[in-house]
Amino acid sequence: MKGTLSTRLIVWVGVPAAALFALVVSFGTLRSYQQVAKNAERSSRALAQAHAAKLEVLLREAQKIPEMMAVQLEEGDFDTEEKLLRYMRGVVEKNHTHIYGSCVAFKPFGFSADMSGYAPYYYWTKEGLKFEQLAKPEYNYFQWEWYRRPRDAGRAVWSEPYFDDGGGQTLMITYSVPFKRDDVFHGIVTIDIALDELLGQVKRIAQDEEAMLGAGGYAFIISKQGKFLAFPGESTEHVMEHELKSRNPELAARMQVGREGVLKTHSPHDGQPAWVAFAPILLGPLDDDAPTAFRSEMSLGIVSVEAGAMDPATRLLTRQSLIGLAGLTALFAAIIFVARSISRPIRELSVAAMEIAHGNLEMKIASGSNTDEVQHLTTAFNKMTKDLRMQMQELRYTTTVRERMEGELSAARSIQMSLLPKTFPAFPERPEIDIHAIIRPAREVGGDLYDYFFLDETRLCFVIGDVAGKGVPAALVMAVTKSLVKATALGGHDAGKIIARVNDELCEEVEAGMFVTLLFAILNTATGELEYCNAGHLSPFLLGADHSIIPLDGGHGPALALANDLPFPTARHTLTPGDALFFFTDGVTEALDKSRHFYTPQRLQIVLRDVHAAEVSKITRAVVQDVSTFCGDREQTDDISVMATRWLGISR
Amino acid sequence: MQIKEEKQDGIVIVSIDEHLDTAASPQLEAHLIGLIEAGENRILVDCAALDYVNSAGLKVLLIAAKKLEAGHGHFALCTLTPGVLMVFETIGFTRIMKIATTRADGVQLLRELV
Repeated sequence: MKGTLSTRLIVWVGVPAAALFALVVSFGTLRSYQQVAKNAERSSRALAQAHAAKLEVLLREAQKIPEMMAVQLEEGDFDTEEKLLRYMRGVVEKNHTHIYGSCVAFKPFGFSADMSGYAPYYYWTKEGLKFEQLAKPEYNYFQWEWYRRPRDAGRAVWSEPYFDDGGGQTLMITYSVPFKRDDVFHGIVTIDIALDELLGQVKRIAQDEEAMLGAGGYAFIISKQGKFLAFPGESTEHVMEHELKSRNPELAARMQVGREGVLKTHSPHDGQPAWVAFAPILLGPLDDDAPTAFRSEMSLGIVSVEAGAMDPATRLLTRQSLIGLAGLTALFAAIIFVARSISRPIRELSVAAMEIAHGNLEMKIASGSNTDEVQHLTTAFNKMTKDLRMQMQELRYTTTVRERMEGELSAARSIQMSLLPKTFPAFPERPEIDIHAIIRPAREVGGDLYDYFFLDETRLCFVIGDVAGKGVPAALVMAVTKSLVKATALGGHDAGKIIARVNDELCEEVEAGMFVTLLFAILNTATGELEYCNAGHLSPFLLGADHSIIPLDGGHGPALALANDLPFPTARHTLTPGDALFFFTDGVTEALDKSRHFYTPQRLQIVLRDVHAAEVSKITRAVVQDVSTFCGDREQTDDISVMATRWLGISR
Repeated sequence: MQIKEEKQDGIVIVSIDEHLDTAASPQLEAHLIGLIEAGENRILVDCAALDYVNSAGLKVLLIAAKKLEAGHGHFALCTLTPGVLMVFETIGFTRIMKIATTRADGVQLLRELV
């Protein structure tokens, strides 16, 4: 993966950390949601049960009133109308807080044989307690639910809510208890409970439990048939028009059969998501054998709006998310900070590297990082720059030295080469003499010299020599020697004496330790008389016209410039026409092959034997060629000089 | 070439072998100059194992001799092999250098010169 360090760190560290965190938080949240939901469910279930039980107690208190009256009526306690009415009035007055009214309805002709119906009814109005005789032409009570159902069932029942326009003029439910005479149905005792009373109860529940239910929570009561007995959201007047079944069938199916539980559903009031806890209110005769569904006359529902119920869990989630978000922000900030602190010096290093690449070796990097690796890198980098700088200096120095040396070499060579005569034939107007010379300077000039010149019409001088040492000093000494020999020769007659004078001059001119070996010869081209002086040099060969090859080894004196006032002898020899002379320097005989063997004077003689009769240029070339063959690839360490001359003796 | 050095009666004896040529000369020159500059004033070069000398080598010996003698010291050579001796004679070194036949002679020669 490519990208900056921070990107990579964020991708490889930040994102996994964020993912892990999200996982932990969502898992925790799920668990806490579940826990909170479970707690909420448990407590709202308990709440529903508790309040259902309270209502049950309340309603059972109310139930007792007609039940007691029924027992008294069956036992005939009220033998006069007055006694009955007084008792009823007392009951309604005494229980006016939760009982709206009470009635005793006798079966036709049950109270007296001359009255087809008798149903005294005491009830409360705003003006106070009122009495009404329900047995009246416009209100045939025998037809009403509250009378017929208990009579037909033979047991006490709660009615569905209804609007009593005959008596109470209000919405109510009625508990009707049948009583018998002589084991035969004789009438009904009732109490009425206004729905307003139940509404008051559920409102109180909602108030008391607001903390638990959350804002918007409420309680409601439904009848056995799913009618709303108390429904805070709706006005009491409209109760008749609504059924729970039409609003929330799921809930209705459970509550109407007297089940208890908690259901995550929607509010019957406004359809918002809500938790509804419900519990039956078990009423009717205390007949424990009957199934709950049968005994459940009403059901209490407690609605908590979901948002409210889940508040603790939501708060927890919010808190965790905030902490996590802060943590992640800090983590990302830390990653970016660390990445920056690493990558900034690296960026600086790369900038510096570019700078150095462009040739600025003075560049020095300050280590601005606390990271060990980066510090090491910086140190290594500075060391590299320093080494580079040093190497550059060294290279520059070496180059300078080499250039100077090369310059010296070429200077020495050009001095040497410019002084040596190289035009052949050397004396085209002199048919009696042939001369040829070759010099092959070593890379580092060795100081060889040769020369030939006429002193006068007949006397021809030959010089071949070797300056000890190399380079420019040797070349300079060589130049001095050559001039001295020529100048001295022009003023002298005897070879030995000329060389003695050259020696004295040279001793003055050259530094200590420098010396020159030299062979000096004077040939009389008219007579063939040769005189020579050998100042520490190799003896030349005489290539005789009679095919003999002999060294001219006379006239030995010391090398030049060793000491003053040394005597130099002169040797003489007379050439016959056709004789040739071969002069050379130790660059020939001391040339080395690759096994460090010398070329040797013996090998030279063999070559000379082959070519001694040939033209002088062939002799010189043959020798140089053979030395070159002998040496092979080995570098030539000394100058190689050869010079040959043949005297033909033909006079002009 | 190998250079060996020993001291006897205040005389430094330097032994050299094989070839004293262009390649070997600077080594011997540095060695001899080092001795002279260190204050040695009698040096004997033993050439018993020396096979060959060329002009570069001769030049080193000549420099050493002249330098030493300029400072009132003495320089000598001993036990020259025939080939080397011939070169010495050719060049004329036998005329300007102190040359002894044996090492003992060389030591004796230098001892007497003090």
